[in-house]
Amino acid sequence: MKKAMIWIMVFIISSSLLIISAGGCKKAAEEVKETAAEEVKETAAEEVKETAAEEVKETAAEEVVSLKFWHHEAPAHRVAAFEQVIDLFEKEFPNIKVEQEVVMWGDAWPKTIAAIEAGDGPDFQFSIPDLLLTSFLLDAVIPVTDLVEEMDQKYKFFEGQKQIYFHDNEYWGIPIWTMVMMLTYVPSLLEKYVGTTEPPKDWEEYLEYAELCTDPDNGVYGVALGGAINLMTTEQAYIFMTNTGAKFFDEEGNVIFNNPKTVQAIKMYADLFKYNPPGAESWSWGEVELNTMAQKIAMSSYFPAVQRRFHMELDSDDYSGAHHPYPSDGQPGTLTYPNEIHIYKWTKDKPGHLEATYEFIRFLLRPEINYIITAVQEQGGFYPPTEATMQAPEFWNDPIISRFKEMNEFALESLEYATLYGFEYGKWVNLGIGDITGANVLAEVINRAVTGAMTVEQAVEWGHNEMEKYSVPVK
Amino acid sequence: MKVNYKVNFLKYLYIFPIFALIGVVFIYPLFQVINSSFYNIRMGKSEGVFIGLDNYRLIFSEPLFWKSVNSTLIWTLCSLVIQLIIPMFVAIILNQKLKGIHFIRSSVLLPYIVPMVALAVSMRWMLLPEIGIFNEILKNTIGTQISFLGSQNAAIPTVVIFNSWKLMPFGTLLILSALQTIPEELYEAARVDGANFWKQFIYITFPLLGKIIWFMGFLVLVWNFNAFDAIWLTTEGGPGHILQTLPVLVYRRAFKVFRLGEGAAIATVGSVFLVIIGLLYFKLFAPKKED
Repeated sequence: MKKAMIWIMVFIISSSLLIISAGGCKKAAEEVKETAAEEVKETAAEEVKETAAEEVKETAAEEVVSLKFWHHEAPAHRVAAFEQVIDLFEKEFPNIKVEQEVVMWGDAWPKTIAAIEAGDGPDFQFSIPDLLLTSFLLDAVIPVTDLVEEMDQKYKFFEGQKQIYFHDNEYWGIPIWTMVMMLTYVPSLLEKYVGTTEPPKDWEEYLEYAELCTDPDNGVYGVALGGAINLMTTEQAYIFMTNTGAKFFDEEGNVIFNNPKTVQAIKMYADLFKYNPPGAESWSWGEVELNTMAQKIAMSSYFPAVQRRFHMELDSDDYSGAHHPYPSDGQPGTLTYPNEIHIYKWTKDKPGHLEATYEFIRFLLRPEINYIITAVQEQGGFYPPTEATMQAPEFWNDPIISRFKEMNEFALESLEYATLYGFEYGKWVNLGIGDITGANVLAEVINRAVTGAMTVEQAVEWGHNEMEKYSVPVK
Repeated sequence: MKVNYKVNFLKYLYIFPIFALIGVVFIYPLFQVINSSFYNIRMGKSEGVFIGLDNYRLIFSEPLFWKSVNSTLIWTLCSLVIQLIIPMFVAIILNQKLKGIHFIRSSVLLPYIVPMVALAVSMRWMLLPEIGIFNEILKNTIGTQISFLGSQNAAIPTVVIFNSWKLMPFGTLLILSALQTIPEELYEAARVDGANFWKQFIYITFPLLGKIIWFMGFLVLVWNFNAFDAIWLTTEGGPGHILQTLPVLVYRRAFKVFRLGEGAAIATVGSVFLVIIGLLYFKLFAPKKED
């Protein structure tokens, strides 16, 4: 019996090995096949394609084309905004069906990579520059220069929102909405503790106000700045870097993180961190928003998105925003997280899909529709990437946008100087930025500095060396 | 003696599906992981570059890896102690003939039924300083607050207790079912001989629960060594790296910076480590036959 069991196990293990090696052989054969097929495609198919495309278009116009896209905005009201847009689109274009699929941000990278490896996935995806870079490096996206230029002519993209996707003389993503951080504050708390409802204008005031507003006996704290090794900390810390002019890379893509400007920024962050509520070393977005709503925090360098909750849950306008303060020897600066749509190569190979995708994106950028996908989806969270939507009456007549009008005007003004780490030069300079963000290097620098594990100088030096490990300068 | 090959073949044929399933869902992925650990695989490209043992050299030279090993051991041992002792006493209480005991027994199952993600997110909010309910109670009773998830000292005990509370019903039910197989006559005889509750526990209950506790100990060891969800959903391995156990490190390496080869190497080391601990556990703590 024992012997038989051993034989069965040996059989299973050897079968598994066979499957593995067979998989390997199959893969190799497929590679040969693919390259051969590509060559054939490139020569013969190119000629046929042009004439066939017109025929396909004609037939596709009659047939229903079904598009599928991925986005990462899971809250129910955001999904509903997408559904609203899809319904309007399908009404106008009955021969195109559009299906949204929510992929949580945490799964976005692995799922995108898996889809690309499998050679099949959504026709297009809503994404951010880091994720676009991942798809680009895997040679999975097509340039969309023609559409970007067409939409730019019609609706005028903000320069910074468009340039971020420009590489190798092509645009690889179409701006669809943007996010921006600023100084957010609770006016009643400033009035109570500082004696004014005016926000701080420079770093000295920021620090002073934070100290004045910190009243642990009443559970009120000056600021909400994250110290955990996560994306929120990275985003908040980067704002302070922009205020001193510090960057991750120079224009050639070399890592320049370890410099006096970064040290100055991180020192300010660490100084302000003392006026945080206890436990901020483990905070993420949810904790900041809950504490802001509970009026336990006077100020935060944060997205102005909490306005929706102030309006809907508290029916209060005791929440405002302003340009982020900067030091006397510094400059205005903050973080923007532009969002785009990129289109996959396989979309081009499916009859009618590319044309339908273009049509859907054109539709999304119409000011009255772009208003839904930005303001209706999340007031204060998502802002339009075009001047046309920014001036659209629908946008400013939105009940929440208009209630927090001043804050939203400041947010849109901030877009003029707001930047994103690794993308400050209007071109891609270092392809390792996705890994640096994924590894939360900046957040870990902050964590080491605010927990006292290292001095600020040591933490910055450590961060520089870590960034060097992931750095891939664009030649 | 004549062996009936036909009957034997049929027996093996019947159990073949389960072995095939194990082969496909366990052995094949295991070999894939081990295989991947010898490659430098970047950004999901399956055609990695063969680099031999370089991934292992790299991870063994990293202080972060050893910190993770340390965190894993602390996490597993603390969980093991709590998840063995508390369910045993809860089971003993639930084994009493009390009024409403069936309702209480069903209620104990609740944390096990609720999805971890819902529990973890609620717990994060409830543990918040200033606005969390636990700190509100502490503030109003002893006038102090604890940064449960933000402090390096409090995070491990907090998450261990939370995870143990979630898993406790399983152990409790397992021990409860074993307790119900102990004949009542043994306790009656002990009581006649003047044994109090403690003596009954030491001389009757505990020895007769030996096998089930040993078995549970192994399950708890393996589950906690591989625990990911409770840690990731509450602290993402923080504050700092205090709760960055090996599974969290594997996830970060493989799916945050996409160094799949390094992630596979850490996973392989973790698996080997677990197999060794498992073998030692069986060798050292397995109940003897006469028990």
